[in-house]
Amino acid sequence: MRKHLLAVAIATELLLSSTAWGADDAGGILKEAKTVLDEAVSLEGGWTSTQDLIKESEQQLQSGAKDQALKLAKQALAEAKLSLERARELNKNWSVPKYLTK
Amino acid sequence: MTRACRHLHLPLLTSLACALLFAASAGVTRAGPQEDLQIYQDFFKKRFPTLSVEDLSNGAYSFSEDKKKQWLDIMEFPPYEVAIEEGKTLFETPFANGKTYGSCLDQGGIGIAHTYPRFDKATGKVVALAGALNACRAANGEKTLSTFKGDLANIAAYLTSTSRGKPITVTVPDDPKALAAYEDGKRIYFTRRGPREFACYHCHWVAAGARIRGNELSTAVGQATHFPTYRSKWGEMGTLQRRYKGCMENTGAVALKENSDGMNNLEYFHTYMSNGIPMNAPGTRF
Ligand code: HEC
Repeated sequence: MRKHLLAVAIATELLLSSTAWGADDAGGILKEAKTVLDEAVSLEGGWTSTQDLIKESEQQLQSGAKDQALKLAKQALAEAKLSLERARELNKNWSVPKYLTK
Repeated sequence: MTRACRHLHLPLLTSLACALLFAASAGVTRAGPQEDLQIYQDFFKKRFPTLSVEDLSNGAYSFSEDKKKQWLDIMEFPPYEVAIEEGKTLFETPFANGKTYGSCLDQGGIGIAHTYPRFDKATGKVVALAGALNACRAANGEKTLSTFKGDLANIAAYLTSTSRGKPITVTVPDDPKALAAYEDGKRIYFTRRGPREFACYHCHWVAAGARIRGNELSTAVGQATHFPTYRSKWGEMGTLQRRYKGCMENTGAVALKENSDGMNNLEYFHTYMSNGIPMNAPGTRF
């Protein structure tokens, strides 16, 4: 079921990123980066560097530097995804170190 | 009889069998705050046999003569004194409805800070001291404030000063929700987070006493005894949760929200491991 959902999510994402926003829409990518980051944060696994990238990208966008904004937005999205993936993994695999268990 | 068995409400014979079963599997399913406490405190006793528990509560300064001297100089006129005074005035000033903070707390709030965080049976959640003050504000129609700093940290400075010297006495009552909160705090403490994948324990257990970017690392046991603390870096008082936030962000992780369940559970677990060590708050740190 999970795998199924994941596949649907990826397919939807591909579809959206290639149609609705277009591959070079910093605003759209930023929006997605924020959503993914929020999810990582809700799993206690967000990174401050992603927040920084989002902020910088927004500033670039505001000042009209579209290319730079896009580059940063893509970085933010990639990082947000990585943090989410790591958060899921790390949350599953935590343990108390041996020297503190007996 | 083990906790787990009591919660099952079994008839006597069955529960005796249950207790035996748990005792037999204790090697595998060992758990429980009391056993943890023993292990955690023994760890540092063995690792630093020359340090007393008071030394542990002095944190990083027990590992650097220079810094300890500097710190003792500051302590001649402790910068938290002002906060205690301000906190006392704030604490005693009635809300608009005439009630006071003291009306929400046991013993009118005096001499109880060393028993926080507490598990609140009514809500099934953990409350830290600043959180309890905020809940009191809300209950009396006042707007809530930051639990990291400002007025509530100053009031906490005053309240902890009335507990100074009393052994930290955090209890995990025999209630599955209390135990779950404690275990959740443990989970947060031992889970890696941030791009560098650090967990709290990486720095404050085996690495305690070592230097990291010019800072000696304090031992996990003893840390909770001197909060809230006046930090020169902050130029004001801050609560333990504010310090947690700092450590989380220093490792690149987005910090948990103040007074969130996660932060409160973390504080519950982390303060529990200092049980028995005299409260030494408010404190001062660089
Ligand atoms: C990368 C290392 C590192 C990690 C990981 C880390 N800390 Fe720290 N922590 C420090 C350093 C450095 C200091 C400042 C020196 C000291 O007091 O230990 C500090 C200070 C503290 C203090 C204040 C001690 C005092 O005496 O004032 C507390 C409390 C604390 N850390 C708790 C935590 C918690 C809880 C976590 C996990 C969320 C954590 N730390 C994760 C490095 C770390």
